[in-house]
Amino acid sequence: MMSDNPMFLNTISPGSRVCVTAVEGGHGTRQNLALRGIAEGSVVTVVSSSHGPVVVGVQGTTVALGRGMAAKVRVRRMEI
Amino acid sequence: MVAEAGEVTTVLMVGNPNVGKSALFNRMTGGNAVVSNYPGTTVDFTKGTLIEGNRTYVIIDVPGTYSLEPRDAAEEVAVRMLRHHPDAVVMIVLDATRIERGLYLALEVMERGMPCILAVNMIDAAHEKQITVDTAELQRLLGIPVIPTTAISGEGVRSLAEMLRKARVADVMAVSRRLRGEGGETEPGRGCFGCGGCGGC
Repeated sequence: MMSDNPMFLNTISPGSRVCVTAVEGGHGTRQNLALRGIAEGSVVTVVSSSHGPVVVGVQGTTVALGRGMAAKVRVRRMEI
Repeated sequence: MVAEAGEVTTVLMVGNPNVGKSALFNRMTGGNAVVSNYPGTTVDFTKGTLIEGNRTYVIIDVPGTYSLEPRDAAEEVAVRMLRHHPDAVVMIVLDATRIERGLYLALEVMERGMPCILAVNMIDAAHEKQITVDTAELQRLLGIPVIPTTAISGEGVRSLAEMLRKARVADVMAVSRRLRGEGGETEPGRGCFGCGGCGGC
């Protein structure tokens, strides 16, 4: 059963694979993230998020997001 | 002194971070720009000279940028370089394994009306990942010369140097017409714009 509460990238534990469902924020934020491979539909793997920036792997590269920015990325867990 | 080596053209290498601009720069100029396997290594520009045929090119290795709306100091340098060299040729460098991410910047640069040439770098890595890039189709769609290269091994670098003279101003409206499949065929490009087969006419 899917929960209705939206999940955000800053709350995901390292090692999980998630699918981005939406990026909340203005045009600038969305463009900024999309150019780095984080946009609706992209699959990211969380590398590190326990403290400091949230580091994710996207299409073979690593992107570090500030926690504020990560909190704007709405995600859905991927069924393995 | 020695006879003048023809006209001097400035070439700006523009592309996303970590696509191999510096490696390509070193290959073309024999320079020693710092190359490393993480993005953002080049934060200032590096200049080098390439003599091809009877032309001299001053090649400038510009810091990697994702768009022409600068968001950090290195991106600002990139945008400033483009602004300060309005008559330069722009060599857009894409990563063959992540073509789609570089196209945004490529189109942004093409919109500025500067003569462009496109290098699809890391073609070896793309082959390894079983990615095939249809450079001929990309060339047809964008209307600028597209050359596949591998900076690490030097593959394609020679033809890239030869093709610098074929750099042309892209017509972004025509690109969007071609992408929608409307009447792109009426404009096949005046004369030769570089299949590379002739070795540079």
